[in-house]
Amino acid sequence: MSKILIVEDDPLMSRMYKRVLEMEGFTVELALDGTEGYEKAETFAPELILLDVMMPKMNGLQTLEKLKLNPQTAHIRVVMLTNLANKADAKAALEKGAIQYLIKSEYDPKQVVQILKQLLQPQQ
Amino acid sequence: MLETNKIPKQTSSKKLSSILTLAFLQISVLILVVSVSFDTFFNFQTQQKSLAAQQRLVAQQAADTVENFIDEKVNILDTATQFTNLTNATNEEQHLVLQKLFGIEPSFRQLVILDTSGNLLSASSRVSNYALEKNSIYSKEELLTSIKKDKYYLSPVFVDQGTGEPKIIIAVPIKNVFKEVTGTLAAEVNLKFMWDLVGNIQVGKSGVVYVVNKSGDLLAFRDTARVLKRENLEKLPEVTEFIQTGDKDIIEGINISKGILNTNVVSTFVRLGNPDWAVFVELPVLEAYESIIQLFIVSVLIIVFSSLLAIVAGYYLSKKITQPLTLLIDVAEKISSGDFSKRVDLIGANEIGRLATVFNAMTGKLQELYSGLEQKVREKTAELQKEKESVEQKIVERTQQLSYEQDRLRASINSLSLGYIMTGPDNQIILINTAAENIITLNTPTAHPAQQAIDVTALRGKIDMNYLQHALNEKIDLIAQMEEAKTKKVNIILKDIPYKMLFLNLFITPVVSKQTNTTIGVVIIIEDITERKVTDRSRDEFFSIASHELRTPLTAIRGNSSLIIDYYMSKIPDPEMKSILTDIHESSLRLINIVNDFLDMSRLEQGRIQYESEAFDIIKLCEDVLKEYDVSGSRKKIYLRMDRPAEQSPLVYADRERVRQVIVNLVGNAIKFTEQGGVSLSVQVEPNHLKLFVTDTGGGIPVENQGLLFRKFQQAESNILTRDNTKGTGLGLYISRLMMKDMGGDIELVKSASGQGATFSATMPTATKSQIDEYEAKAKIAAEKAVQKGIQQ
Repeated sequence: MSKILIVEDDPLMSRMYKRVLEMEGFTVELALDGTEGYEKAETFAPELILLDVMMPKMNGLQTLEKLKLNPQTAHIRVVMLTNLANKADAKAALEKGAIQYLIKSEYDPKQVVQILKQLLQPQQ
Repeated sequence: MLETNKIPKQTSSKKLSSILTLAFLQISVLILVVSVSFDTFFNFQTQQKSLAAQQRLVAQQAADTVENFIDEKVNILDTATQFTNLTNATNEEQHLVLQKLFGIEPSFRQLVILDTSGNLLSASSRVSNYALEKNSIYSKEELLTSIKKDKYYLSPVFVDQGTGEPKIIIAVPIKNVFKEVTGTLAAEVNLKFMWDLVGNIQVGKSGVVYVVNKSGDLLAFRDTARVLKRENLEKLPEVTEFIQTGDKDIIEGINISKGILNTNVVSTFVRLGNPDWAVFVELPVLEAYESIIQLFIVSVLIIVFSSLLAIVAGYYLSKKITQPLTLLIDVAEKISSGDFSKRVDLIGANEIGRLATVFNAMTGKLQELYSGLEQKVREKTAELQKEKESVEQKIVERTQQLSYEQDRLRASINSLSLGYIMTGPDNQIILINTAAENIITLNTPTAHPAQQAIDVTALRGKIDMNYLQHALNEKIDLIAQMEEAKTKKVNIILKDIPYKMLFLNLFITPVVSKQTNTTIGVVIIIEDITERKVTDRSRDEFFSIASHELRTPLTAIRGNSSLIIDYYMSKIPDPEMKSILTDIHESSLRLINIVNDFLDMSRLEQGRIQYESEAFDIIKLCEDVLKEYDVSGSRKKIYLRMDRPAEQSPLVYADRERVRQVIVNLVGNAIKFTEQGGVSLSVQVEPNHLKLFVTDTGGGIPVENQGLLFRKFQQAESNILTRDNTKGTGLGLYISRLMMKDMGGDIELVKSASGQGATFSATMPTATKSQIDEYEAKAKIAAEKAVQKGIQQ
């Protein structure tokens, strides 16, 4: 089953997404900030990373840049998780190699899973 | 008062009198000169004639004397020949005759008797050593020829070598009884005797007479020395004339020339005929014209005397004429200086007398007129004075009014809470109120916490535009803005100008003179918006932060409740519990919408929304939105319709997502308030814009509530107690309108009435050519990608 890494500083959010994804059969790993997320991207080697934009230590954009520079992690698909306020940052992330951005409040968790499944599909 | 004309007092009368005197003098002198000249001229003519005649007479007399002298000698000799036949007489007889002849005539120096062949028959001389024969001065042949013709002979004058006296030889024929010439009696005559004759002729007082022969030799003159010198006088003009004119007798007129005494003389001459001499008479010019000169002197004296007389007479006459004139002038001068009391005291029937009378009459008239005029002037002056006083009074009143006005204005301006600065044409501050001073010197509550940080004490009382400009320097060119306001005569509003720790709004208004239509300065109103700015910012930040902070837990509630609903609903047996869960989920959704609205509003108001405009097809967007509602809004049985226009409508240029949000809002509202009928969308093309209409058949909006549409938190039927919370926050239209305005469009309520539905319109700009090109290029790329995707799949 696909491995997904959720990099999100708010446990309320990460727990919710972890819950639904695990229910849908994904293997989920959590990271609380950008630095941890970057490390876990190497060690955990997920197929997809849900990356929050606003985070302590290293924000989503910086993390994304680092991931794309690392050959070990460059291929991993990154979906930006964001709220309405930093939609612009999320869009900028698309140009840095993220494949999608999701505004957290606009989707139910189940919808998020559906989107992710679709994104993962061509690879399978 | 009359203006006094200065009259050159003295010159005019003086001048006139001298002119008259001069004229009189000139005329008299002219007449005298002319008459004297004529008189002198004719006198001279007469004098000359008489002189000439007199001289001629004298000359003739002299000539006669000379001729007589010769004739006498000839007669003596002739007589001697007639009484004796000298040629046949004996030598003794002849000698006797000759001796007798000597006795008769003292001028005879020698006497000879010759026969016709020239042989000397007898000779006798007073001086023994002298012989006539030997004289070479005469020609014996000539003598004989002349004698043979029975004519006497006169030799040229010659000078005796011994005595130096002039001599002449006179020869007469000797005839026999048959009147045949048998010989000649010749005598050498001493002309000295003639001198005495000539010298004794008196010509005037100092005139002279002299005799000259044809060669110009002086023959006789009272100065014998000159005769003895045998002076030749051919140089003298008279003599020259005599020598050159031959036999012609030209003794007409009188000639003035240098005479024998080398003085100017009047001379004339008379020819003798035989001998070939001429007698000259000379009279000194002075003597000749003595009488004329005397006459002339007398004439000149008369002229001088007459002139003096003329001057006196002229002066007197001119005085006679100019005196009354001077009198007139004096009076006229008095009148011209305003004194009308004087009259000209002249009585007479002549012109001047009449002039004086007329003048006096005129003066009287003038006096009348003048006094009338003075009266009028006095009246007018009084009137003027009155008017002046009233004008002064008015000025005083007006000045006071003006002063009050100024005080009022100043008080008004000072009482303003807004800063007020008035500048003049050169941007110098004319007026500044307390509020402006306080703002500029940071003496405001808004600046209070930081006031101590900046020292502005030095600034008090000497605020000027330079300081203001300096303080604002990098933020705004205030002077340039003022100039622009002045030149373009427009109001300029400068908002949110940071000034130290304050924020100001500046309103620049040109002061235009109504009279000249020129700008004479500006008024700057300064509004301290710091407080408002801080409040606004606090509120905005509150909305922004609150929304953001609220959203995360709300998303968690929403997500988790939906998780339960999606995955664990079957595990919940109690339907009431299911219902509770569903309510929680829906509440979270509504709350998220509210928060989203708040966030949108906050960002819109802060201008922090970025629009990503592009060209797109509004019809398609409308249909997409309607499709979503078709699915989700199926609870109500109403229609949702897009009325496609007959023609292809142009693309619009806006942020598609934001426009979508607006359409959703409009359609959502329409559905919300419509129970029967439905909602229809249509478009209308306008220049540079496209209008989207959303029309519903709902309850409509009462007129009294229409004004509240598009306001923050307002619902159409608003009243805090009747608020329908299920219908949203009341921010939808407010946000939609802000967004449409930001994108160059607008939202309006086109028409509505209670119970008759409502029509809203959303206007947005149509895409330009370049924007359409961009859109087409993007569409092409998208299409290619889609094709590639298809191939890959």
